[in-house]
Amino acid sequence: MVTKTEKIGNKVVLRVLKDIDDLKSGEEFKAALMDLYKSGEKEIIIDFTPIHLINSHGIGKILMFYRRFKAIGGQIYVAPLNESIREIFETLMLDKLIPERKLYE
Amino acid sequence: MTTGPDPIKILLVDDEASFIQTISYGLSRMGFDIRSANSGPEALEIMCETVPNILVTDIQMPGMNGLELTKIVLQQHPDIVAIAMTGHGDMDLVVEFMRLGGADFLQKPLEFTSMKLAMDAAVGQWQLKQELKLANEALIQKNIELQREIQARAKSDKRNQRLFETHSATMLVIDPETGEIADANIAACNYYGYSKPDITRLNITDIDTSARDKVFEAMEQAWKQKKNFFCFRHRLADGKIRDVEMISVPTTVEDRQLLYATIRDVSRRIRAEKALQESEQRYRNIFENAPIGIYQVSLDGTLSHANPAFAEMLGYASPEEMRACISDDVSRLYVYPDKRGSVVDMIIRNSAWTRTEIEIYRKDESIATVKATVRPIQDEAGETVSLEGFIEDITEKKEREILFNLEMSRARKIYELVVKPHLPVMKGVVVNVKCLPAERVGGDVVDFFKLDEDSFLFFLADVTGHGIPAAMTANTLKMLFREMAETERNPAILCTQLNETMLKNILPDDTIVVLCGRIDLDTMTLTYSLCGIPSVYVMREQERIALTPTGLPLGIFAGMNYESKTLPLLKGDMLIAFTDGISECKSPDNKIFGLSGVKKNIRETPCDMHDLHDVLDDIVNGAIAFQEKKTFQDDVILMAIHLFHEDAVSPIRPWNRFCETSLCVFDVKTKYADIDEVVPFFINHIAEKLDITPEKLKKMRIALFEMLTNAVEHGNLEMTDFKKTDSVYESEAYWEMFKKRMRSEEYGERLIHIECLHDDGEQLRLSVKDDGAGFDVRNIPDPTHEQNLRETSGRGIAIARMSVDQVSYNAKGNKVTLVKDISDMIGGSS
Repeated sequence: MVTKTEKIGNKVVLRVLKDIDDLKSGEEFKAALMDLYKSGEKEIIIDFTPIHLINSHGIGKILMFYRRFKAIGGQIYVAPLNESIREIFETLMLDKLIPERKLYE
Repeated sequence: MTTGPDPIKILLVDDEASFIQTISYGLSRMGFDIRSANSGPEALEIMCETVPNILVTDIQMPGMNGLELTKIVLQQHPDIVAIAMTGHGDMDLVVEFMRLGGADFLQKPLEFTSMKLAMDAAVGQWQLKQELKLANEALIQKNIELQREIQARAKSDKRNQRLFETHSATMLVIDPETGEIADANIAACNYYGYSKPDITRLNITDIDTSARDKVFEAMEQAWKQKKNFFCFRHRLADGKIRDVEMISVPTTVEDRQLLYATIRDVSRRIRAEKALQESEQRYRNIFENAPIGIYQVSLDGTLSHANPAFAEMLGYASPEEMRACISDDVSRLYVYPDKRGSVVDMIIRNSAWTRTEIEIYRKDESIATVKATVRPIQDEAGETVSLEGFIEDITEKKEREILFNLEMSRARKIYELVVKPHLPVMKGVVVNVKCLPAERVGGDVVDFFKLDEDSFLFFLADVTGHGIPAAMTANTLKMLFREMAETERNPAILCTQLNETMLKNILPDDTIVVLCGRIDLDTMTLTYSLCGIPSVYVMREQERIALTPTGLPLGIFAGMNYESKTLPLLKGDMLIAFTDGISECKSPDNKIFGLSGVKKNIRETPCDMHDLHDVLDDIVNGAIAFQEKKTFQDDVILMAIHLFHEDAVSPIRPWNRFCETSLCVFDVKTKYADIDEVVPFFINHIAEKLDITPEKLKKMRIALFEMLTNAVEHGNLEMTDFKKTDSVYESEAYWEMFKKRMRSEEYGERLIHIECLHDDGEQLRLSVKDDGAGFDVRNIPDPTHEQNLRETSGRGIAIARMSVDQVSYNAKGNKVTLVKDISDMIGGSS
C-alpha cells in the first residue's frame, strides 16, 4: 500500500507511505489521487513526510492532478516537506505551484 | 472475538510491516488478541512465550518462508489453526500448505469480508479441535469410572442405585426384550428433556431414530455381550437430533434381565470430524482441480501420482492415459532424457524446493517448456526415495519473454543510436558524455548543436518512464531539438517550442525535465533554461556555482513561456550536469544517494585531473559504492563541458569523449593526437570496460597504433608523398614539416574519430577515421597484403591485418575498421 487517505478535521489528507520511484508505485499513487478526485474532493493535502524519494513516476501524477483539481476550482496542497522532498520540489519548481499547508492548525 | 474469558490469540506473520499494521488493526477491532512477527524465526520466538490459537502467515517471505514456519508450528502444536496469505499464481504453494495441515488460505490483496469469514471459520475449527480433545479425554476417564462402578455395583445394590441416580453420565436402564425404558438417571432426564415418569413411559425406539429392528438387534448383541459399543442418533424432547455413543452392558435388577446403557453426546465431535474431512476434501479438490500439474515420481522415473491438470497440460485425456503412454516412465517425457539425471541430482543436493525449467514432449510430440518445482521425499532413515512437485506450462510465457527480450534489445539498439550525441568540435572546448548501463531502456537523451565557430547549444533531457515508450519519446525529442536548433538559438524559445509540440505527444501524466543551454565563446557567456534537471554546476577553481531553475518541466501546461538566465564564464570553467538516475540510486538499506551524495563526490579542484571523464567517474564510482552494485535501475547520462585556452597548456586532455555500455567514441584534433598517449589510454579504457587485462589487447594495441599513425601522418597531415622518398623521410626537414603541420590551422585542426563497439561480447570493432583525402583505393589493390610490409609507406594496414581478425576500409580510404574476436578473453581479468 503506497498511500492512505485520512481525514484530519475537515481536511482530506493523502499520506504517502512509500517512495514513489517506479511504475507500480506511480500507478498506485495515481489511483489514490483519482479516487479522491472522483469522490468530488476539491482540496487535498498530500503528506510526503514518511518518504524520501519521489521521481518522475510520481511527479507527473502530481502535475496531472494539479491541473485537474485547478480545472474544477480545487487545489492540491502539500504538508510541510522534509528536506529531501523539498529539494526535489525546488529543483522542479513545484514549490511555486503547490503551496504547503499544515496538517494541524 | 472471545471464547469465554480469554480472547482468541492470533499470531500474524508477514515481512511487510505496513501490511501487518493494517491487518492487526482490523483484527484487533474484531476482538482478537494479536501478536505479530516480521519473519518466521521471530514468530517462533514469540511462540516460546505465547502459543497462539490461530496462525496467519504470509507464504512468500525471505529466509524461512510461510510453509517452513507452518510445518514447524503444526508439528509442535497440532491444535493451532493455520491460515496462509498468498499472492496470485501461488497455487503450488497453497497446495503444499494444505498438505502440511493448513486450514485455509487468503489471497492478497485481502478484503475485509473474506478475512472476517476466514477468521470466523478458523475460530470454529479451533473450538471444535478443543472440544474433540476434551471429549476424548473425558471419554477415557468415564470408561474407567464406569468399569469401577460396574464392579462396585455387584457389591451393593443400594449403593449402586444411588450412584446410578446421581452419576453425571447419562444413563438409561432398558428392557432388551421390549425396548421399554425401565429407569433413567437425573443426567438422562436433563439430557433428553423429560421428567422421570415421562421418560420411563417411553420405549427406546421412541428416542432412537434407527429402524426398530436395528434397535432390537443391537440390544440383543449387547445382552449376549457380543457388542457393547454403539453409535446412534437420538431424538430429544424438543425434537432435536443428536449423535450419541452408547455403551450397553447386561445386568439383573430384581430378577429382571436389563441393559445398563451409558450415553454420550458426540454431535460436536462428529461435526469436528466432518470439518476435518471437508478440509481433507478441499486438499483433494485442489489436487484434482489445480490449474498446475502435481505429481510424485520415484528416483528411477516411475510416475506414481499425477493430477488431471498434469495430463491435460500435455494433451492427454487423463492421468491414466498419460501413464499408459509413457509406461509410467517419466524420462520418456523429456526432450533431453539425459538431462533428468542432473536435474534429480540437483534436487537431492538442494534438499529443498528446487525450481528448474525442462522441455518435455506433449502427446502430439510438440515441445512444451515447463517450470518444475520439485522437492525430495525422504524415508525415516533420511534417504531420498522419491520426488514430488508441481509443473506449470510456461511455453507461451517463455516465447513472450524471448520476443520481449528481442524487442528490448532492438529498443536498446535504437536508444543507443538516439543517445549517441553529436559532440561539437570547437576551439577551446572539451565535451565528455557518459551514459551508464541501466537495467532497462530509459528516456534520457543528450545532444549538442554547433551554431557557428563561437557558439553551440547543449541539450540534456529525461522523459518519464522506461522501455520502448520512453525511448520513442526521447527519440522524438532529440529530433525536434536538432530541427528547431537549425533556426533558433535561444534556449528559452527552444524550450517553449519543444513544450508546445511535446505536450501533444506525451501522456497526461508524463513530464520531460530539460537543461538547454548555449555557450558563446566570443562573449564567454552561458545562457540556459533549467527545467527540472537536478543540480547543474559550474566549477571554477575553488568555487562551485549552482545554476538556478528557470521553469517547470516540459509537457505540463500549454502556452508556457519559458525563461532563460545568463552566467558569465571564464576559461578553465567546467559545467557538470546529470540526469536523476544517479541521485535516485538507493543503498541496500534503502537510503537515497541524493544530490548531497553527488555533491560529496565532485572533487574540490576538478581541474587538477588530466581527463575530463574523471570528474564524471568520481560521481559514478561514489554512487556505485553507495548502492553496492554496478548497474543502475534508471538510466543515467552525465555530461561535462570544459573551456580552456588553446594557446596555454591545459591540464585536461582536450579530447571529446562519449562513453556508454558498448560504445566508446574519442574525437581528437590532430594537434592533440599524441599517439603515444592516445593509444595506451584508449586500450586501457577498453580493457577496463571489458573487465580484461590490457595485455590481452596487445595485438589490438599494435593495430591501433598503426592506424592512428596513418590517420595523423598520411591522413590529416598529408605526409605520404614525403615518406616515399627515403632521403626526405629521414631528414630534419621532414620533421620540421611534420611539427609545423601539426600546429597549423589547416592540418592540426582536422579531427581524428576513434570509435569502439563491443555490443555482443563476441567481437571488438574499432574504427579510426581521419579528415584527410584518404589513400587511393584504386591504386592499392590490397592494402592488407603482406607485400606492403616491404614498402616504405602503406605498411600500416598490412601490419594491422596481422594483428586482428579482419580489416576493412571505406571507399574514400580515410576510415579503417579493425575487428578482433574477444569471446575467449571475456570472463575475468586474469
